[in-house]
Amino acid sequence: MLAPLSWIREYVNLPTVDKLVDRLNQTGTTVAAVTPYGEGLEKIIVGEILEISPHPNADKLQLTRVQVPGKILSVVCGAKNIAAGQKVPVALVGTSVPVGKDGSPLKIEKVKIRNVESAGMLCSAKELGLGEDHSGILVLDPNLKVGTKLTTALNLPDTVVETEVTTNRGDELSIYGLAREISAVTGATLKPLTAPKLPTKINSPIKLTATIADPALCTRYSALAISGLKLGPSPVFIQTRLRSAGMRPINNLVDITNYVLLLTGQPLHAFDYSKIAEGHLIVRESQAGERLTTLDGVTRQLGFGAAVIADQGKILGLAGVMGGEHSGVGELTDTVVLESAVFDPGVIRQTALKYNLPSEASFRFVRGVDPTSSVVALELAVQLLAKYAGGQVASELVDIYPKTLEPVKVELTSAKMDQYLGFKHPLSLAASQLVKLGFKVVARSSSKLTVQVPSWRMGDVSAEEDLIEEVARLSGYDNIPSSLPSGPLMESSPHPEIAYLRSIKIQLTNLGLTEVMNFPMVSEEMTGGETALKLSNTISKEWEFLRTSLIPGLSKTAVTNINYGIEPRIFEVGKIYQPKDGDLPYEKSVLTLIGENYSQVKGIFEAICTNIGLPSPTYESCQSTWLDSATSASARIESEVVGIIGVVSSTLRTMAGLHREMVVGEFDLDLLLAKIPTSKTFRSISKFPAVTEDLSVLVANTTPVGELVQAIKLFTEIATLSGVEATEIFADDKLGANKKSVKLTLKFQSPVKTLTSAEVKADRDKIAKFLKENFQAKIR
Amino acid sequence: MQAYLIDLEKEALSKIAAAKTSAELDQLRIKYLGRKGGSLTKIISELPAMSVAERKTVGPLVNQVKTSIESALNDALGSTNTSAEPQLPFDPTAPGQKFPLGKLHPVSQAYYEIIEIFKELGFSYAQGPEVEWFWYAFGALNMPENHPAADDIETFFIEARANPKYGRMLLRPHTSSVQIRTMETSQPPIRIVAPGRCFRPNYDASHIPSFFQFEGLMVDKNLSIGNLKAVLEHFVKRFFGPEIKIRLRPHHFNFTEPSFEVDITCTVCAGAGCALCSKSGWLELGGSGMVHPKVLKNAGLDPDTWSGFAWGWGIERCVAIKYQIPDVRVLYENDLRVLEQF
Repeated sequence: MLAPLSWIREYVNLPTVDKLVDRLNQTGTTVAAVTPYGEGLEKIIVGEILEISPHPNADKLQLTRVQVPGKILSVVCGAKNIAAGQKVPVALVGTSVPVGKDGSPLKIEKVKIRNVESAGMLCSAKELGLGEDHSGILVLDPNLKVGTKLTTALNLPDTVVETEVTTNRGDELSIYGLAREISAVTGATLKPLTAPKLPTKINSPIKLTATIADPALCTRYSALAISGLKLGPSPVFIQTRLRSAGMRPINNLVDITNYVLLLTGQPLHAFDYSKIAEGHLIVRESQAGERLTTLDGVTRQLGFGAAVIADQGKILGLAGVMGGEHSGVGELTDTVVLESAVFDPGVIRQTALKYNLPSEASFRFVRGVDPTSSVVALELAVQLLAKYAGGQVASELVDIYPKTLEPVKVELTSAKMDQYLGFKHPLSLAASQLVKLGFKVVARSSSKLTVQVPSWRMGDVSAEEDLIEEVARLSGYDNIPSSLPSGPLMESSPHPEIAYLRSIKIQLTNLGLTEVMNFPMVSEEMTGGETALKLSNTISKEWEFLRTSLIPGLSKTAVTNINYGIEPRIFEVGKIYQPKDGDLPYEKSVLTLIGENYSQVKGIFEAICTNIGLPSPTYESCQSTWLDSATSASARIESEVVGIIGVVSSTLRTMAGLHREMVVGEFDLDLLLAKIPTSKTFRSISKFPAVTEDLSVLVANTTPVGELVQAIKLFTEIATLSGVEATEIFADDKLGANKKSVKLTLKFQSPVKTLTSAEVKADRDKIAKFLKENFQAKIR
Repeated sequence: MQAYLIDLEKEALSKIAAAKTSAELDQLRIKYLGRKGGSLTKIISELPAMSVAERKTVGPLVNQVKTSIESALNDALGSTNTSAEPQLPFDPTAPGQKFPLGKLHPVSQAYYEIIEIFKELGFSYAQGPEVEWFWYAFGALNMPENHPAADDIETFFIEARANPKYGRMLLRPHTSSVQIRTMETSQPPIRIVAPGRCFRPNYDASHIPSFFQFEGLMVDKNLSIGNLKAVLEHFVKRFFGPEIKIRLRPHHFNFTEPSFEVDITCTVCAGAGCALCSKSGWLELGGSGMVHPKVLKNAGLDPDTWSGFAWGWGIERCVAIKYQIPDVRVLYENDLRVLEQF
């Protein structure tokens, strides 16, 4: 809320601005901005327009003769709202106005506009930096003397603080509410908000009655009729206050309702009395099929469940949100019904959201309006309307308050307060702090207080903890000593994500890969047609589904870096989301990484497996959404598929804008982490030398090397064989068609003796024979 | 035999050092390691005939000597090759061998650092689902449907059938849901830190639609605001630096009472006031407070017995403050030149 300090000062004395802001910030009212209002206007003076004539060379301009002290100026003016006899702000030649056309200060010089000399400028609110309105010249109070400084006329400069009020503190959304809070946090005395009582007797009152058809919609409905209104501009002081609080002046009736809203926090609404059938208002729920054209000229299909104000035949307005066009106040209106009601926060919130009609009124209703002040607001409005709009009360007061608020009493015990604060806080001090905030002490003992919550805090304070917060924030959190908690130690076991996943990630960085992170939300295209969860209110088509694989996102990241000329040695660890019917999805942790070729990705994967103690994976060809089926494989450990590795498919290459071959692997971390052995056992190392022998064989090029190696490992006749590896694979025209050469490096070692070359040769020969018989291998 | 081997090694190494051409080195290789008649090869072939005790001592030694001669030969061969080139003087500024080194994402680094820091105070690691029910994200946290507090926390919803008991499916907008899940399944005393992904429909220099928070929760008897302050002070000093101070500003969250915003002294100007902290000397870190009694009750704990405190702060926010990153979106652009700085 924008709060001009000059207005607040009417109700409470203020410290310096810096002190005030600091104190408000420390006690929970955030001050988002402090802005000077009406600065740089010392040289602007009040002038009187004596006469107006058309500009000889321009249809849209007029010539004015303006009286200023000692002389009459000739000024060209483009505004349409000027008239002879008006008092207006004048910037003389040589002075400047704060806001020129380009937003920066404008120096006034003697100029010729379309061949007519102009010596000065008549100013709009915008040019003076007083508001956004630049549709016309700022018309001042006709009783002002020519030559008066504008700053004197408007009581400027002022300071405006912008407060950010949390949702529980609707009571601070008014000048008086903020003054009350300031008095509590600074200790200054709060002046009462007074208004003359409504007349008790009205001569021949007109009929005004109301019913609340559904009490859930409306806590209190107060209204009265006012007649004899003469609509026109509101007094300048009201206009200035509205402008400085960010509102635009309209006319005396609207401005006064807004003025009372800002002052008290109670929204007011005016209906044209002549549009209400039989002077009877009904607060009810809208029904399916009902329509209303609101003040903004939009016809809305209401549907069921909005709170509306209606008469017998039609809807007059959306309660607490926006009035109807038909019942709106027009130029000819002379009798209005002024409504001061308190509507249900939930209903107003839904209505304002549904029709996208946020307003000053609905903002306050949603945060709770004090139902005890609806009549006070009417009294203030009546007083101002009588003074500035000629309005007189024309009906009896309607005041329906079906369920008067029961006073809420809350206990505050010394024990709990001291526990929370961490030190002994005298109960008497707590009592005086609460009283400053409007609480009433209704009972007191040596160990506890019972207080009654003020009507404006009833939505917020209902438990002892709430009172402790009030005491604590006024005492200052800085005064609470820090002390580490004590208590029993708790057993906890390491979570696999911390114990293992972190070390896997660090291993990957040691292998030269860098971790990247993408958002888990992806475009429809990036789901690859897999079943994926869809966001119902996304803010971008790029973020519409929850990913089912990290491969597309990581591929795009790779392309981004390739385009920067950086080799994408990258990995990502994250969740993928697999929908489950009627339940939350399975959030599976996966590791995805990118490498230059199949062998590299496989090598990285196997390095990780080895390091965390997993058995060697086995591989077979596979099909998957994002990989080229001819060149991709699934990896299994203990017969379960734990991941896939392969060349990215052409579809994905096109989608990611990738112009070269790339290999990616995606691995199921939930499965891998679950397979990590929890213990390791020592294995003794043979003290006798190992002998390495190479065996090169020629086999069909379709024979998987893995099978060859596996078969040798399982060939049990050789007890001394301690390792087999395929160390060289190549094809060559000289080898023959459909053949490949595989060099197998065999390691022999005995735990009990040094092997002789004869023994090794015999074993090697046995293996060669085995391969000849089982794989039609030719020994090279 | 041992002495013989040691002499053999000495002799071989000095001859290798003296050799000037690769042909000489080849000769030496044949002399010592040749398949037929090499001095060492001979000894190796005799090993099986030795006694077990002798084998145990000689075997390893033979291997050592063999490796030593081999590597001396290889080194010498390398230098004779280059000696054909003009000899270059030693240049200490010549580049070292390059090893590829990757980095963890800065958010990951912070994630693990946070866990470590709270572990020092006995907080264990906890997790909860990222896709949640309304009840866990709002209802149980004292934010019923249609409460304006829910407007303050904008939320992505999922197109899915609502659960009759727990309400709509959504992407959790904060990690506070882990508070409820933890209290439901474990008995106090509780001390957890739960870092994890959250989602909100915002995208600007300080907001991203998917981000990380870390939730902290302690539930025990007789906890005070001072206890909360001390725990948070420990964190900010460890994460941002020992000179950093905190202040609590009163705030409002439905799930804590009292509630605070926690500020730290500006990491750039140390409180003097600068552009980063908008001249205030303070940087806002995040929300915190004493667990609301209704939240304890909703999670099945008796608020008359137990008290608690909690906080939920943004990890990217912490990272941005720590490294002075002006726009958090840069963390998710995944430019390796950026990520490898941390």
